[in-house]
Amino acid sequence: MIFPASILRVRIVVKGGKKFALWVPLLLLWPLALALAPLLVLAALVYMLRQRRTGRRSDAIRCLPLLCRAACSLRGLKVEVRQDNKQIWVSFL
Amino acid sequence: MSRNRTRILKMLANGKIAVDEAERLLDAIGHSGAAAPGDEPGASGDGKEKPKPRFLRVQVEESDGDRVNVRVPLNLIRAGVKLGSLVPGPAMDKVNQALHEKGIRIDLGGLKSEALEELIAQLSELSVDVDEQGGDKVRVFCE
Repeated sequence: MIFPASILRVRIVVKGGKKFALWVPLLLLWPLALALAPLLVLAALVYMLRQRRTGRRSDAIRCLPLLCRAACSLRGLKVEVRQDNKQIWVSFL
Repeated sequence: MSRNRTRILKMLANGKIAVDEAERLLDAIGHSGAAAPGDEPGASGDGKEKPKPRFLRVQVEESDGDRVNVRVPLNLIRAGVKLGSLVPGPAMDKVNQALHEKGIRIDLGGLKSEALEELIAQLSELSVDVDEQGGDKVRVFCE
């Protein structure tokens, strides 16, 4: 089972200057996402029905679990960029 | 000493790989020791079963000190490819066209999720090392 990332960490360092560090507790968003999930499914269903009436095919319902999976897979993603005297770290823990 | 460790040290002794490359490989073996007990005496695997890679690493180091280090979970790539398969045809055509204009000749619509697992399995063998004369270095590997 894949658990979603709990913390988003952003760190910006300017050499000889400012330091900025941000810890975003993503785990606080999980209950909100769970609460909104039924509404999202409903909205996707309505969208699909409207698309079907116009003759277009829509994969809105299939998108939701895949989006959820992509969000859960973010754990471990790390980007570090150092240019001139600036350093930026973004990581999902 | 495991078979893999011996092989890496032999390759280093023969000059087939550099010291830092050997260090990285030994480090990878060390990390995977818990998942695949190749170092344990009497282990049935004896390093034959390769540990599944979990991350794709891209490291770019420029001679002037600029550096980019990216670690992408392979699960994210899996999810991304599956999401990409839901992109409508006309939108995918536009993406492909934009890529072609940038000189990247890849048909993203042809990337099927069925072939993805095989591709990811082969990624464990992937290791790209580019060292330019100016000192710029690019490394792509899985860990």
